[in-house]
Amino acid sequence: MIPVLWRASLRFLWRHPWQTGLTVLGIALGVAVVVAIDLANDSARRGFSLAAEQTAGRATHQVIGGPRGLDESVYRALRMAPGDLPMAPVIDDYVAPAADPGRSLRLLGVDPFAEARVRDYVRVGGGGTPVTRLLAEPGAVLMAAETADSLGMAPGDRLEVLARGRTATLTLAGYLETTDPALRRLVRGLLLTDIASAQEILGEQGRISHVDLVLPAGAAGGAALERLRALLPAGAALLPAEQRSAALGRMTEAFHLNLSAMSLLALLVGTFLIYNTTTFSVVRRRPLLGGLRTLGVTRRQIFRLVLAEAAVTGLVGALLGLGLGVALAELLLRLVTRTINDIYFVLTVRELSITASGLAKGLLLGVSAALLAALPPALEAALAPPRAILNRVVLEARLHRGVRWSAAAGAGLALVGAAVALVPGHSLGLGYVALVALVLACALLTPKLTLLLVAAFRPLLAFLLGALGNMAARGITAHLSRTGVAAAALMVAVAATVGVGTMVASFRDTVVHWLDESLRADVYVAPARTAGGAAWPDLGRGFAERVAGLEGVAEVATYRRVVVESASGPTQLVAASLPASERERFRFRSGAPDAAWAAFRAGGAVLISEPYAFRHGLGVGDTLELRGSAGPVRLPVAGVFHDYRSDQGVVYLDAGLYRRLWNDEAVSSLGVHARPGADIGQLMARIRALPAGGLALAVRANRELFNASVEVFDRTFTITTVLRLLAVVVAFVGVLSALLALHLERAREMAVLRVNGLTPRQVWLLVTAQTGLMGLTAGLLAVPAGLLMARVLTHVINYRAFGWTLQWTTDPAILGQAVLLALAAGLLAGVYPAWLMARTPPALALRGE
Amino acid sequence: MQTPQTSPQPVTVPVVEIAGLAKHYREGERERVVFAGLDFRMGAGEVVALLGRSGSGKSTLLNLVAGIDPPDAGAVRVLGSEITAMGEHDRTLFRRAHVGFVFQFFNLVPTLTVLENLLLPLELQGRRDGRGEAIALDLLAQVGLEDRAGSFPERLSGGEQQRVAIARALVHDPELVLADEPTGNLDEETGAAVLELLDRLTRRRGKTLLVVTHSPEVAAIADAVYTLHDGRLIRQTDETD
Repeated sequence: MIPVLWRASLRFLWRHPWQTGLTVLGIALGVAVVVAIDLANDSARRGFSLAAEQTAGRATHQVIGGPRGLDESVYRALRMAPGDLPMAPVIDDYVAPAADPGRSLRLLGVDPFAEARVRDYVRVGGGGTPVTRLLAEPGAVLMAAETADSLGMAPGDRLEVLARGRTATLTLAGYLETTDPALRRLVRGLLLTDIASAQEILGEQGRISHVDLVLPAGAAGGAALERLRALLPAGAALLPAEQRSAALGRMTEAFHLNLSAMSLLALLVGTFLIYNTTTFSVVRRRPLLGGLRTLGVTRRQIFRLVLAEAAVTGLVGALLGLGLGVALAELLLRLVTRTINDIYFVLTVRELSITASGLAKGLLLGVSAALLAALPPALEAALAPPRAILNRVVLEARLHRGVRWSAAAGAGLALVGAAVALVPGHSLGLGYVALVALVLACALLTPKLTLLLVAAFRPLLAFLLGALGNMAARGITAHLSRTGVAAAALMVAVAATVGVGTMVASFRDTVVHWLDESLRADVYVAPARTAGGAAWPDLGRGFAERVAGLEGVAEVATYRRVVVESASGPTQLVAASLPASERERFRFRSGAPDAAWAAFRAGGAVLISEPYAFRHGLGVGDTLELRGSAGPVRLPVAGVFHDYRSDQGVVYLDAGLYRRLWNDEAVSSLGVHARPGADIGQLMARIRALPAGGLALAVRANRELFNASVEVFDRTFTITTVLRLLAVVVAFVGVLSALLALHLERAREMAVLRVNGLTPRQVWLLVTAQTGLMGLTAGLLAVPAGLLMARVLTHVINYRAFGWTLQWTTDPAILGQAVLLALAAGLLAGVYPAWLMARTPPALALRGE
Repeated sequence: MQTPQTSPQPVTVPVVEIAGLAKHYREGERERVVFAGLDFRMGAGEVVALLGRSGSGKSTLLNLVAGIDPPDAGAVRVLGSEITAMGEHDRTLFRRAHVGFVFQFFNLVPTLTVLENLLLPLELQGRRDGRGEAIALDLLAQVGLEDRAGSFPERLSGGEQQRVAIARALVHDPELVLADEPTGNLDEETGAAVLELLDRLTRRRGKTLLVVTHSPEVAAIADAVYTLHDGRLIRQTDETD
């Protein structure tokens, strides 16, 4: 790069602080969103692996059982096996402080003697509190001093907790203390206790969650596996330790991926803004670039010059974006973990982990986006012959001819995008390719449509403002080299907000409609659960029968919810005994309802939810293999139904069949249908009055559960709403930047008009009419473009990420908001240039820059 | 080709030689022929003025000589090199080394100081030593603007800007200087001063100058005056002046 040219470029950026500042802000916001999501996702993943490490320790394998874990005799049998292999039994669940039921604490019951060879907790002890002391005191727990502080506890204090629907009392025996930072992170939020205490607290006498094993590598390990497997009872399995945590980790991958993609949408909007600004700066400097070419500056030098300017803007924007991103990540991390807690599993992430690679990625993305956006204008500037660069009229004439080609290219790209979107399969990548193609297609169509819309608005403007209105409209078409690109950038920015908004609205309406249809019972009864609790406590069949016998009860649906192992990881199973009215709520995606229910009730077939079918590639007629208490069971799939409870999916089977296959009589929850005319409040009171074996009950009316479910939905979409708001901010900055630049450049033209008799007020009118019209045009074009984006987001990307079919909802408020956003930004963008032009003496403006 | 009415002054090495040059433009559905089969020669050290009505093709001819616009047919040789046979990149490098340009609207780089504007052609040639700056300052002194070296163009009057542009056109010592209406944007008095400067500096350095103009004053300083009329290049004799 020629130093003097480089200086000229940098000074150009410095001399146009508004334009440069807004571009930097646009890219900074785009990068900030990407970096923030990236850091939040990374921290959540780190939190997850930490949680997996909390239990796994050095374990290479795990022995797992059925829905209620393993009988402790299994551990004893394994212990007796030759070879003295390191192994340790574990009880693992979540409990909640009675005073703060919303908080989950992980309770880990261990055998202190066996632990040392598998996990390091026994080394932690400290504070004169040997772990073995746990053995002596029932209910004694150890926890980190930090955790104890947050609970307001000191050694010797007692803590009332809710565990599997019952109340238990824990005693703080001492602190888990360590100077090892890795161990210190591991013990945060953990309550460590003796296995016998844990069994008592959880009401699971004689049972354990699993056994952790450390097996040698190679042939010796293989031989040990063989020996141990031979000792296992039917229904238990010996699996590699990472297999289970990997299956859990995969649950949230689509969620993380979609957040990343949404954040990239903000960067895409930012990229369009850079494209707009760079094109604008090239267009406005055409005479200068032509002059330089005449002086002997080569095409390559012009090309590098434009790209270097974009790189500087991108670098400054990206650096600023990193700072903003880290600050934003703190907020987003809370939202990400809250969503994971609501939908997937308990995840506690206390600190944001800022990695160099995460920051470098943001920096690289920002600069790359800036360079990519600057590529077309840089090529345009470099390839144009010097004479054409000098001649503005030639440029406008060529652009007007090019509009037709741009529209044709846009239509062609739209067809390509639509074709890619319709390619069957599960590829999320192809979904995003289709989305980007359609966004670009809309951008290419924008100049032509802008001309048409402006022509349509011109009579109205002329009627309202007379000659000024005509001039405002003509100004847009006459300066298409500037207005066309600006309109496209604005349209994309605003369309992104319409697209995401409509997708969320469609999702919400689908879920609300589905909840309305599926919550058929009048009252729902379940034990009070701790968030993340491993098992649903048993209400008892006797309790279900007592409820069915209550006055005012017509019929009762019973559910047993468990997680069982399948060939492809954990599967949520619901064993249901459903009255006819409950069956009506199921809407089948495939499979004839009558035949499906007949097969279900005959006790041989299962019904699977849409996401389960999608994730496991199953359909009607296929066979599902699960691990039953007496070994693998193979069940035919009779129907696939719509269900929005979990993106992991759920399998329904008849309660009788479940009892036979899993040897489990427990009941997890009830759906109570009241007789017509029965008082629901009184019925709930009667249910609450029934003895429930010490279980704390959650008895909720239909509407209460409905509202709570909608609340959870809204909470899980808070992060999407935040991202949408950020896209709105980026869009607003973009609209402002594009229109501001456009009009600041026209100061000379306005000065000529002032000289010819235009009053400052008329200048105001002219400028704001034009920026307003551009904003309105972009806003109107953003509506169909945004709806197109929403179609792809809703029907292609969402389906491929989560397997849900969503209804389509067009919310007029979102569309109106988008048009208003663009119009308001347009009008606001006119304020400063109009003010500046109105107060600058025309003679000064006529002097040029 | 329009044969001049009188034969040109004898020249040994033509700096500019045009043969059979043709150029047309498309205006909507119509095609406008600017010229067809044009021939022209300019000797070293010659100052030639090119007159003609607006739209007659004067600037087009200048652009073709500079190699910033390609002809439809014919050849343009500058200093013996056929620039119409060169690629875009080579034409640019040729222009950089051998041609200086003065524009009607000055075309100074607004974000560079006066001195930096003069250094630009030198830096483009890879001359970034202290000598370049000395040459530039010397030229600035010759155009009477040595005290404005650190100013940005916007601070200068039109006449001053054009004086900087003349200095910039000569700073890298090109053999050929092309000027497109150099006084067209200046008042009479300033124009005369700029013209005198252009004439003095180019002649003193033995440069060849082709100047497109409307102004009879500009034509008066030329060794030869041509008029472009209806696509024909007509040399004016002293009698017709």
